[in-house]
Amino acid sequence: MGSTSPPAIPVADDCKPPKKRTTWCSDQQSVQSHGGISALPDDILIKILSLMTIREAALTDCLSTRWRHLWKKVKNVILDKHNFGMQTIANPNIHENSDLLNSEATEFVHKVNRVLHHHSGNGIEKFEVKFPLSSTHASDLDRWIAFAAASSAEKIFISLHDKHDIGAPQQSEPYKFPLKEFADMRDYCWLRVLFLSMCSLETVPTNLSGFSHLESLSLNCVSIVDEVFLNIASSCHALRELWLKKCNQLIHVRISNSQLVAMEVNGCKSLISINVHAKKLEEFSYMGHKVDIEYECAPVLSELNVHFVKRNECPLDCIGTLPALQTLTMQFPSRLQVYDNIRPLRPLNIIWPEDFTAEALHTIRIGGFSGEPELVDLLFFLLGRSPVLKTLLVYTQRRRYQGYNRWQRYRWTPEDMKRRYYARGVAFTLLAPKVPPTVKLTIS
Amino acid sequence: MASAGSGDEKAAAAAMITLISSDNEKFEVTEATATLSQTIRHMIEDGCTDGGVPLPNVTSKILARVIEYCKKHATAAAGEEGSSSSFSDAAFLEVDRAFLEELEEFDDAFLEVDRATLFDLILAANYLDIKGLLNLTCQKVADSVKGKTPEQIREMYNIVNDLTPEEEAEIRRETQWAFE
Repeated sequence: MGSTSPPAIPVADDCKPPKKRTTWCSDQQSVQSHGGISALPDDILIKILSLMTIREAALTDCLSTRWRHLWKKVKNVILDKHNFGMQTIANPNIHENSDLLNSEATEFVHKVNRVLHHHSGNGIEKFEVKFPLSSTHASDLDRWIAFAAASSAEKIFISLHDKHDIGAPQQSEPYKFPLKEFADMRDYCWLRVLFLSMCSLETVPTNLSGFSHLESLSLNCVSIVDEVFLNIASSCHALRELWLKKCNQLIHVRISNSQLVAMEVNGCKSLISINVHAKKLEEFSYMGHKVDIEYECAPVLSELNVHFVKRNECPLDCIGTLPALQTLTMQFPSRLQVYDNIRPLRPLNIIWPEDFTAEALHTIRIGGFSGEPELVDLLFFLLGRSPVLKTLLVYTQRRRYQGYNRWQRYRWTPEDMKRRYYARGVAFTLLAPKVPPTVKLTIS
Repeated sequence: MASAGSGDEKAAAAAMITLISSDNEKFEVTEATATLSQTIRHMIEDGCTDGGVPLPNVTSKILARVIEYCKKHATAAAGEEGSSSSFSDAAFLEVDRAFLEELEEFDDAFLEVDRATLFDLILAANYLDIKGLLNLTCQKVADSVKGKTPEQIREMYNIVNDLTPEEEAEIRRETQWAFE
């Protein structure tokens, strides 16, 4: 600690009006008395550099001998357009701009190679690549991932698309993620979080020990078949969170992870069934078309979120056999047709659970409520079967589930005003009088 | 430590700790405030806080600011523990957001200090192991460097360039990609 006594000046913010801010450049106080920023210890300077983009951190290499090589130890290696200060193409039309996109990819690959050539590869907390690349860049990507694996990175995020979810140009094959880099890693498997987007998973090595401490696995738009998924999942002994989104080749998903606490399956188009064997599973979210969900073992599952996407497929049989269920959230695809007037509603096809009782259910949230008679009936049904219910929330706003516990609210339109007015009217006049006094009803 | 036990919350809330700055000034704070510092938390767990905790690396001026931060954020931490559900209710979220905004305003105002004080706060946060304060103060320095050329950074922080022109040219060649 080089710090001794501070200079005898008043505390700056005491003598300034709160709204007027001084910028750094106009700050007149010199730091000479302290030896200034360069006197801070290495680990703090590395921490500060880790909070900048990698490009900005690298610029400090030539400040003075004190600063040499420090940036090569930054803990977060985030490699994307923003971090390299590259412009985002305003209109990423793949057909018109393919040359431009190709040269941009070449520039990106070059910059990443420069960074990784110099980085020490020690103590990386987060390694992230976010750029539309495909199998044409496989040899570079392979090296980057080998680097991340060898650096014992705790979190690896590979998103081979830009922020608009637009993937690499050309009709190229998705990049095959090299699982072999994580095989036979007995001594140094630090990987805790893995997020893969727009790539494929194929050959699973026999000893995938690099995944043995993995706590969170997210696969988004990943080409993966049932058998490969099963193989990978069986290597993740410590897995606590699993997110599967738009993995369109999955058909029958079987989850058998004893440490799993939360999982979400979202928009996997070809899915037929999900089989859950997870004795610690507490939270399960499903979004998509009708699939068979079998809870072979889910004794402590207390929070269930179902997001129906098709009007003619709202099967609620998935809530029938959960003794520990406490919170049930349902999002329906309902939307009133609003033109000049409220039009009659198109019917929702809700399939009722038959032998449903919810001994522990205390909260029901229902989203997408537009005053549909089917939903009113459903709520009456659920109220009658939930003896300890305390809270009933009815959302009339349009909103869309994006996955990963995030919601998106739609832009407000005049039609929404009418629609909400109608939906709230139904909720207050038809529903509210029949809600028992022990249940707190909120309509928003 | 009996007073830190979860069973008796009143006793824990009332438990006071004395912190002693390098210039021998004493500060009485609640245990909830003090334990934002992992260093002090470990001392409490080891039962060696009787008679006060001497902090020979922290001056009274800096310690007063650190305590101000901890008091505010200890309240925030208590609020977070109260909410158990991950899918929070809309009404609850509104309250939460207002509180977070207030906290952000506090943090912004808190950072309105001269650079020497900021560096002292960083060193104190590092020594006391207060993660939130360390992140906040380091982020402030990081933000100040963003978008600046090496020359501007040197000028801003009075960094003397002790590299030979040849060395500097070599380094600039190495990191050419960052200048593009």
